[in-house]
Amino acid sequence: MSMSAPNVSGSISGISPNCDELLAVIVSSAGAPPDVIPKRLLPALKNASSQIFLLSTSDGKDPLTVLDPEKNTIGFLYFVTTRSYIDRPNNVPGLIQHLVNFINKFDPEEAKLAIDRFTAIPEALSRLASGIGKPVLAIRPLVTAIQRLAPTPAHLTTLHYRFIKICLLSKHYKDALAVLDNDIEEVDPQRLSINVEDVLLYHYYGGMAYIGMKRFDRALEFFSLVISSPSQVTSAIQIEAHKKYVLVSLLEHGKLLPLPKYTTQVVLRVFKNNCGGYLEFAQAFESLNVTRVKNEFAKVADMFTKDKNLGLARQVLQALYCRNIQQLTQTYMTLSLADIAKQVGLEGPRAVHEAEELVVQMIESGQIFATISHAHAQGGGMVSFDDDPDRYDNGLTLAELDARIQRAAAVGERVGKLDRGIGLSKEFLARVSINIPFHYDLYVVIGMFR
Amino acid sequence: MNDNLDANATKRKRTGKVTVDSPNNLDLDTYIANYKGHTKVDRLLFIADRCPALQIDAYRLAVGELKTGSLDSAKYSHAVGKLNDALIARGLAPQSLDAAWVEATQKRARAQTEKLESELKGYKNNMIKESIRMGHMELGDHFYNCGDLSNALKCYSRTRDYCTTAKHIVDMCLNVMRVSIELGNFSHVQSYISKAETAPEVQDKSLVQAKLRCASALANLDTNNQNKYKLAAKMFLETSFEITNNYSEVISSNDVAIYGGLCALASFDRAELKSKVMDNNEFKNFLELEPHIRELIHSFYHSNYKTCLEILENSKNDLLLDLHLHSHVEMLYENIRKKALVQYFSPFQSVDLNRMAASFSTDVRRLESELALLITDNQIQARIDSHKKILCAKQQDQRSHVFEKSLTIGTDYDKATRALLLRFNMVKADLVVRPPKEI
Repeated sequence: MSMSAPNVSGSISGISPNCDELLAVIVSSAGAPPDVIPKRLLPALKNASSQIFLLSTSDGKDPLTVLDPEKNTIGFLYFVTTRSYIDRPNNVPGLIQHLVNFINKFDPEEAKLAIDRFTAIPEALSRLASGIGKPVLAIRPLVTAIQRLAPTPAHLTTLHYRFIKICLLSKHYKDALAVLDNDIEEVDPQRLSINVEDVLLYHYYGGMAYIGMKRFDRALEFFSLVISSPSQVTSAIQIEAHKKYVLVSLLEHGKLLPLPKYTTQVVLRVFKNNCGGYLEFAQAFESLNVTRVKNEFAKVADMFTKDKNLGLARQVLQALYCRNIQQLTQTYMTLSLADIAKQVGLEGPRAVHEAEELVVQMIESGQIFATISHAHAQGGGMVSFDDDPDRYDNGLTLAELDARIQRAAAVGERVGKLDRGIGLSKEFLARVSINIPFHYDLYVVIGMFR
Repeated sequence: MNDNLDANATKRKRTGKVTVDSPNNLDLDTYIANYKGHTKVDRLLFIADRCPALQIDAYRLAVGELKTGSLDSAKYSHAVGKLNDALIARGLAPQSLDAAWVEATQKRARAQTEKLESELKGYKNNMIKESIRMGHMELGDHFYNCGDLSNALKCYSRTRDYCTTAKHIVDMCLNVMRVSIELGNFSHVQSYISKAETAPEVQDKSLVQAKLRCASALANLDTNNQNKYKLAAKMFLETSFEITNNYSEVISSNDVAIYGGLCALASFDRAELKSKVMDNNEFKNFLELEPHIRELIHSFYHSNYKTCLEILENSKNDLLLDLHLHSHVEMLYENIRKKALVQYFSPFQSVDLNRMAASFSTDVRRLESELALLITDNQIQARIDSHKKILCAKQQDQRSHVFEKSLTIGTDYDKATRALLLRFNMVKADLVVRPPKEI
């Protein structure tokens, strides 16, 4: 983080203006020509000692009430963040109120000029909210902040991963959805000062939040984005994401899904060399052989613990039985619980009972369609497997289909737009025209492209 | 040299060595009379190696064949050594090695080599293309006769530059193929087959074609292609009966019937079996030679699985003693059995497992797990009612299936495209994971 810890105890340096003067600069910059802010206001704010932002004006007014968060966005930002950052801020609820007010009113264009300062807001707000024991207070305002700062919901900002991290730490996964469900497509390092870590961390934390909500398909998608990001070397974030990708893939699909083929080789290689245990565990899982999976699990359990993935791995182990039962539904119409227990590899005196519990669970969660009958005492009950009763012939299907078509069309349109953009770009045209040795060959070349 | 021979032998055995206690109805003398040249010896040695019951006879025949028909003294000594091992193991008196013959043969072989090489040199000086070709070929034949396969292959390949007519090319290809088959280098065989096939009109074309088909079928058997049995079967079925005893240095017409029949059975569906095998007049001639294979195919076609499986069981040991087919026997049998199971069930909506088990002479428990495997492999669209012991056809609802599939494809497209959009924009904005900057 670029913001240095404010030096509260330091003395006010001679060259910095006092609070009134600073306020005058801030107020006079409002509505001034566009180059005033970067040339005059920002240097003044940056050079000012942090002590100044804690003072009141000479006539005893609080600068936060003097300044207008909409017109004096940057000035207000400096005051409010510095105040939230000191060790023991006064009037915490009041500060939170000021921050929330600021978030609702700030001018996004101006905020972008002081984005490094703006980026401190999530942590500041979360600190204040946790300080009074209500971390949840930080979440809603931050959603607003992101929505207001990002030009479109598809744009990534520096606030994104910081916000998701706060949601993860306070376990408010559902609140993250307002941001997470907008897929990031646009990245604008020039105007929003984001870097590649922003992209990686956002998708990594996002994947973890989706795991928290048990939406494994989305988690998988997010981790896959991290792993397949353009890379020259491997980032530690990518390795961690890859670990989780393997486990979630097993959990959701029962096998290791292939990564996009444009994934950089070096990322795959580094993972293979350092975390081979995960891949061997996945291989064992794909065989659906319970003993083999358990052996492999025992071998890599230490690694899982170290990586803090043990809980997830345990879920994967449990899912193995479900996976096996699902396999049985493809093969059998009826099967006794005893046979199920045997076929899926449950052992011990309670095997039949455990099998029944699993089947009941799976029926409840809609993973399989079956009925258990205890009419025949033999084998402790018979399970009849049914087909998926969804015949795709109701309005719901139609609505779903329609939504999907619209989604696909929208994506297709964006791709088309991008394609046109490339086709018209100078770089592309220059690249194409290099390949034309003489200008009169142009028609031939164009003919080749058709 | 002996090590070399052993290494050669082990290379061919991809699967573990199977020992056959007793052949089913293999008559060694009649069987081996169908072959001549190297394959005769190789087959004898192979049988001796695997079948203790026939070991002594097979070694004796091999030794006799080597002594009369070839200059391969190394192989002769090797075979005699093996024969004596076998004799001693059974407490019989060993047969002595004919050292005088070995020495004379070696001398003769050397003299012949020198003579042919000097002749070839002479031809080369005279620059007469045809003579050079003949010289190379004779030298190749000689090396082949001495068992020096790699040199033989070199000589045969060298004739290539001196071929002037289509016949020369075909001869060259056939020679190279013969040696390569013996060496087990089937990719080589494949490429020379295509060379020979592109040669323009030649005399007795159909015979040449037949030979090429057989070689190609053998080459197909050796590949790791999933469809290898189907391809091999097709080749054997296209083989003309003219081959009768004209390719016995590689394969006999009985082999064509057995190999072709089994491969076809393991890979063709019922309709293909009828149109390509049973109604194939050319192949009928082959089947006449091996009536049990004909009966096998007929019983399979007429859904008489019990007879079919019995015939298979009765000829298994013989096939395990076949030089080319032994490593494929298990696989072929498995495929045939699977196909029989699939075909048995195909006309029914539901089948009583007890009756099915009886038709396949097995018990319900085992049949159930066999069927479960087939269902998992998606070869039978059915489900087992383990309670009532019934196999029921799966009612695949095509409409639901299409819906399900298109929804998945739609989701995948959506995800992939969005991921690509992000990736594209990242590359465009130069957001790439880079090594940390050096400080």
